[in-house]
Amino acid sequence: MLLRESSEAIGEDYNEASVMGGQSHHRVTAGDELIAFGEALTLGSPSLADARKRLMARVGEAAFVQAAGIAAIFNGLVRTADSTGIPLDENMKQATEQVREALGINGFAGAKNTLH
Amino acid sequence: MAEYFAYVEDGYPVPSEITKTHRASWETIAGGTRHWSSEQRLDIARQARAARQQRQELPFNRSYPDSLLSTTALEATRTIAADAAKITRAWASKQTLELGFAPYVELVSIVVTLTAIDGFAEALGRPLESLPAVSSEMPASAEDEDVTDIGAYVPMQDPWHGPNVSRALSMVASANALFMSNVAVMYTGKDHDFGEMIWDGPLSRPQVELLAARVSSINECFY
Repeated sequence: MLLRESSEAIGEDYNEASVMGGQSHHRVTAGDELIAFGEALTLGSPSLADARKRLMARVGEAAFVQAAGIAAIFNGLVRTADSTGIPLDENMKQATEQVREALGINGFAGAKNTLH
Repeated sequence: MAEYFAYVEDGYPVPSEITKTHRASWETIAGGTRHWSSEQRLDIARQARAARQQRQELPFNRSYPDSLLSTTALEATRTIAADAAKITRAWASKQTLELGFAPYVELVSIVVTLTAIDGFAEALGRPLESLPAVSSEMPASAEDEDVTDIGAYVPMQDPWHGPNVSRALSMVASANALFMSNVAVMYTGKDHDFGEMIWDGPLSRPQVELLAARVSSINECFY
């Protein structure tokens, strides 16, 4: 949902389904490497070392460190949301109605606290 | 805490704001509150780390270090660390009934902060930082009396100015500050207020949000 808002803000149209499915995201520079890195870290995958190396080679050291921070803090943020059951605020709930339905996000366990 | 998180000395070009915040977080986690002693808070961190390191394993295949914590506190810590997508209102109600809202919020803040800091180490390819020693410090942990039921599992401040998710732990200001201080520096790369969304890091905003969205979707986080 953040991606949707951001892409609208800068006047571009990104495909959210690629984020959900982990497919390549060609319109974002280093999209493939960022997705592989985020997946490997989140899942604790043995592929993390390779994903780390490929991302650093593609974006450079400073951007790699920022990516490390983003991926790490979002693993904390999702746990904050899941463990407190914070519901979507009404504006976000309305604005994302179609995309949540299209992407199957409404089926996640945490959806029940906002939707039911 | 200066001996911890020597990122730059170890060859990682980590902004000083992140180093400073991680050191402060270790200090806060080690400090006792009226709900959890220093030993208990460090035990929560230790158990969360163990659960996180075994997140690929099925729950019944995981093993844990000995603990001083109650069965309920252990269940809450390990589930939030490794199986958060399975959390339901019924599960959370059981934990908050047995632990109390404020102790539960403090426990969550330790687990999610540990998750972020350990995740950062893994992302960089750096060994996990040793947990701090037991402390006799006693940071303030007053509960906010203005919190209310907004339909979440725990009471929160309402109204709230800023991103909605940043009030999730607002029942206990020190718990919220522990985690949100890390969000501020790790999300923006600088010590900016999360709500300001100031963007001056080397990654573009679409790159950041692509990465963040993928991490959230793998975690099956509705929010």
